[in-house]
Amino acid sequence: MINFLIFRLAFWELRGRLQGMGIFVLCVALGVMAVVSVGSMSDSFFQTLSRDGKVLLGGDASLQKRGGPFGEDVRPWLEGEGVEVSSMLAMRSMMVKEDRSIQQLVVLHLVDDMYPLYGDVELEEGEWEDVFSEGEGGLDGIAVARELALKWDIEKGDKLWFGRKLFEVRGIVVSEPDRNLRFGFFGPRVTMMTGSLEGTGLVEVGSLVRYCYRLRLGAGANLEDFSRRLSEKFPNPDWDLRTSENVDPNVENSVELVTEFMTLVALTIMLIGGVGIGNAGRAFLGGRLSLIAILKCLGATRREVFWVCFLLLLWMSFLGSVLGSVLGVLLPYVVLPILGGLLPIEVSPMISWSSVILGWGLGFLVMLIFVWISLSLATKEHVGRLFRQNDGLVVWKSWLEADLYAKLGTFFSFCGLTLVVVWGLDHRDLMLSFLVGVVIVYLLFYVLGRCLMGFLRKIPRLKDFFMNLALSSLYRPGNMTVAVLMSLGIGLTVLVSIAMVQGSVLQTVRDLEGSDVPSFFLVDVQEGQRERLESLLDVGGIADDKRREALFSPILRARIVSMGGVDVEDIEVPPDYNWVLEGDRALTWDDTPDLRDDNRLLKGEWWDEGYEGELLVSFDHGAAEAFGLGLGDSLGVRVLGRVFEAKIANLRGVRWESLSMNFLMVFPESSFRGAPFGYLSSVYLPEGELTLFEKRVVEEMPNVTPLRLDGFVEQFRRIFEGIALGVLVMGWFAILTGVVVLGGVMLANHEARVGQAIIYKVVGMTRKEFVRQTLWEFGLVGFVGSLGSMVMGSVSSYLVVTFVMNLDWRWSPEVALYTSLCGLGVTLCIGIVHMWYVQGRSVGLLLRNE
Amino acid sequence: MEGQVLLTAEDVRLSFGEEGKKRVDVLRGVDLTLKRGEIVGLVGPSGSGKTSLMMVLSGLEKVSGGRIDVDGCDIASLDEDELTLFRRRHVGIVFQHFHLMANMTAHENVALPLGLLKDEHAWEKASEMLDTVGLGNRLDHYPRELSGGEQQRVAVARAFVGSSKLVFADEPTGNLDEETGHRVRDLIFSQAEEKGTSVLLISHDKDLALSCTRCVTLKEGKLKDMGDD
Repeated sequence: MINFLIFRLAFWELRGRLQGMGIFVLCVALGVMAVVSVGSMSDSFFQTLSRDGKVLLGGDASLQKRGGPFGEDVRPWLEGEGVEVSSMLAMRSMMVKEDRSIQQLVVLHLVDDMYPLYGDVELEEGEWEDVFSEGEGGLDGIAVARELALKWDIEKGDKLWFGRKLFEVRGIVVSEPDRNLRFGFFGPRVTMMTGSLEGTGLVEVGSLVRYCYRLRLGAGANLEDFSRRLSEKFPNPDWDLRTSENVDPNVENSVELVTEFMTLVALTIMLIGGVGIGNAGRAFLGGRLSLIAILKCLGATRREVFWVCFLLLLWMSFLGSVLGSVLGVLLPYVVLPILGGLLPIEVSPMISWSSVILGWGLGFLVMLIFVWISLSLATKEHVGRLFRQNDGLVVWKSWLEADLYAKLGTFFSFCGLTLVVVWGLDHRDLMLSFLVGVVIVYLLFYVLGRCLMGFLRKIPRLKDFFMNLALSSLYRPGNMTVAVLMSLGIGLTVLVSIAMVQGSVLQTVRDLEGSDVPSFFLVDVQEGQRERLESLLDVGGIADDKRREALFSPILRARIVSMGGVDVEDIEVPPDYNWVLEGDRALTWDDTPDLRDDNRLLKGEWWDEGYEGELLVSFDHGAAEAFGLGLGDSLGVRVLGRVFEAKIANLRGVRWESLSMNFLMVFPESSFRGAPFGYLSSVYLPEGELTLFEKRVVEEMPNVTPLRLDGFVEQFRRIFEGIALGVLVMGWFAILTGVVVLGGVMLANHEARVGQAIIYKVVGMTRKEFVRQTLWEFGLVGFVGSLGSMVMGSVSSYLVVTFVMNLDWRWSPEVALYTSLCGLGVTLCIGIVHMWYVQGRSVGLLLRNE
Repeated sequence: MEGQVLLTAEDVRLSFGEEGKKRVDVLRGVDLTLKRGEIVGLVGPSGSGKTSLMMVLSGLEKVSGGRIDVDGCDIASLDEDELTLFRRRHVGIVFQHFHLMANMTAHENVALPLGLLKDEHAWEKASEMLDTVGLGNRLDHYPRELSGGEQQRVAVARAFVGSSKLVFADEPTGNLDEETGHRVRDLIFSQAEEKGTSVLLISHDKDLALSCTRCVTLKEGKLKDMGDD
């Protein structure tokens, strides 16, 4: 048992000598800070969503649907339940200034007089109610988002066209309660009363309009009960229900994804820090061998000595955890305001105690994993040997020489870490794979280090004496080869991996930019508008040799209600395929499809032209695999309020990222005969004609919504680059941790290396020769580390890109080059700093102090 | 060659600290000559400046004043790198605390000065030298695997293996028992005689100093011949 004297001995030791603690504390702090800050930022986001859910959603709950208004029985039932209902519509429309000088695609936000149910609309000046009151000129009033007003210099009193109707701007909106998380569309918003839509000609049959009911429950009503009653009353709804507790699953998923990546990098930082903790712990104990020897001389048992040393390390770990927690908690307060513009909502930073506890737990377990062995080595040695060899090398012996209890302690600490990571964080499979991956990479770097040392030992002596010295210093006792490779290598591997994943995704985007992507998708084209639309293609006669074509596919909106006879409510949705069941999807029909590279028939046969018979469907192969569907399985779809059961006749491999016109479901042409439908058109035009074409479409066909794709790819690239940058920053942070750890390795060996440098000087090695020898030593280990990282990072990025992202993996030579340079640069810099410091020490003074 | 002067130190001064009260004058004008092949014992009380004198004579410390001529070269005027090269070519040092490279084997430690001299037969010569000092069977042993006496013999081998004309031995037996100390002393003397090397042997041990060709005393920063007392 430990007794009070042990605490006192540890305290005396701490009081007397703090030397060697810095790196240990810093490594614990960096790991804890990474975990706490990522957790705090994520929790801050979700806490904000949860706290402000009602205002962000604009109600306690919201029903959203496309393709037509709500059934007539919905609103009366809701009102019968004591629910206040605010009805809204959203659609894309072209905003045109009165003199036609400005045209801009905006989101039209149509509200009723109940809006907003929660929160307030803030205008630059004036009251919200006045916006829609009757104006002097008999024009209906609208409110324009401030960013739109600033962009186009729109002021109160200006007049704007929407479709065939002129409106007057009566308010500039500074903020709206549901501004950030909108239903349906993103883009600058113009708000008008639903009644004002009449006369605009914007809504035709099949128009892309989103309908929404924002709901405020009666006093004391329970959201869960309400949701249950709603689904009982409307068992197969054609709407999506969102509640203030589940405001926007897409945004939440995106944030979860980024959090997931950042958590992985944070864990990497913690584990790299672990190597630093291990080295610094060894150095710390190595510097206290005389204390251990004296305690043993005075009769302290090994167990008592162990506890004194353990308490010292525990105290340092505590200091590191406190420092890391403070920094981790403060970081969101610094970072979130900076990131404000990039996030979908304004996130209020908060202290996440669960993340702090997780950080402390992980920090403690990582510390245990990396100190058991050195504790055992330091305390098992005989007193005589400790006195005779006071060079600290005892604690740097192989882990194989440690006691069984230390090996078991390390093993069980790692098991504890695995349990905490797997059960304390989401995405267990991913976390487990990550930990296994990290352990494999660690082992590979360990083996690489050992192999390098073994190889260098075996090669015959070189003619160049200094090269010989450099090479042999990589395998001599007290060498840092394995420690350097492990501390730098894992960080570099993460960096290579992130950079190569980023490179592959960006290359996919670049391929898209260079490929035959349509210029526009036109939604809601009516039968009578096809001919006119084709004539509009010849807008300016520019670049006549370029593709100029409009392809049309008839579409109806449909919602999948069952798969293989199972109601979709009872189906577990695969994470990457929630879009299949979320809301309405466009379906088309075709007996003679244009099967291309991005739309290939993989299984089954296409039906004959003019097929009339049992309802068949051609389905996306990836979605079918994800949901466990095969040929002959049934698919239930609700179209225009009626449910159809179709048999899967064939499966197509659709490459959605090609951005060509593709469909999840294709039916025989006879399937929906007589149903009112519109067309989806993909338009190909030379680049210089896009704006003119868009303008003409908007002028002549106000019901048609043009979606321009040239900006989409760019936008996708920007968003991806933003996310990648965040993860990459964390990757660099991992490198920084590696550098700190390397610094620790250097410090741990510092006195020994200073001693060596002095002897070199005494026997006549000049500064130039010393520099040359040190650069060779550090350069070689840096080069091998970079090479190892390049290979391991490439392999891990291949696995992620190919098997997780389902994209083509590309090897980036520039990433490989940068990584090698980075690895070399870091190690050489550390070598140079070391030389600079060593050379600055006075030989005479050091020898005199011996 | 014997009888020719190898080292001449004139009015050598060494001070630490700034002008004023904190300034410590360690050497206050030391004059010393050392002939080729001569073994001079240097004794003196603790703090008298024996090690400091060795430091300045071997170029490990810059003098504050005076002149040190070794084989026609004024080392007081050399810069750091020139001093290092001077040590490589002319000087061997044996320390009380051995100062071997802890991570090099005995063989590597002895081969080090030869390697710096770009001697193609460094390894063979180092082996022979270790044989000579009785450690031919310990070539691949690290210093921590050797006893104190063995470590000092490796240090002696390292000091004499090259082309050193001058060896400084600072309390070479200070950390050893009497018998081992005598063996190390005999080794130094025999190597110096064999190679014609001049040796300045610093010691507390008057008997050891008196066994040298000549013996001088350093007291309060000044040097006197033993016979002067």
